[in-house]
Amino acid sequence: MKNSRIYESVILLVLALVMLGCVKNQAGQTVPQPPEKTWRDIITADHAVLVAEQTRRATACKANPTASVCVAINKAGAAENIARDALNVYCQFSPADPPTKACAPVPSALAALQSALGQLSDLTTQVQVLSGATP
Amino acid sequence: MTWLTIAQLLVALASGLVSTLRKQPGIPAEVLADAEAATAALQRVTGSEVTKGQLDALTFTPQW
Repeated sequence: MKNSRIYESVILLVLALVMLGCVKNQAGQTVPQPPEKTWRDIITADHAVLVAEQTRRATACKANPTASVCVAINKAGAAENIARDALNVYCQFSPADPPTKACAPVPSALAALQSALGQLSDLTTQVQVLSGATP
Repeated sequence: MTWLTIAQLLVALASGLVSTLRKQPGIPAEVLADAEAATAALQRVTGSEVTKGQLDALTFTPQW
């Protein structure tokens, strides 16, 4: 029951993110938001799924870290960090930059970012399947 | 999960909810106004642009 509530929340979150994918301009027309916002929101949504699963399975996975779902959670988490790093490169962020620095997109970094996001999406889906939920 | 990540999730949910409410007939104007004000307040917390700080909050740390 608790499990299904988590997945209902995730579905609602994904729907909200889809709706957030478009913004209205001053004339009231719907226009796509900058892609880096969509990518940030995708990583944020996957982060929420993974942290929820990590928290829910902490006791079991610490006792048996080689269980398939436990391995899948860590693999997806590593993919999340890679996707975030790829977005950092796309936005020209460096470790020394202040937290308030805004994204300045570099189109040449796009392919690596899209590949990292695809990998993250696949691995997060795998975690959901192994957890008994249909993604 | 950091406060920033939680706030970002709330912004996403609130924006989606407001967008849905706007399309529904018969929603009282004051309810819409309250929902829009709450969303705007959340957006001020997280910022409308993608920033370095937002991405720093998205770090997965293995626990086992």
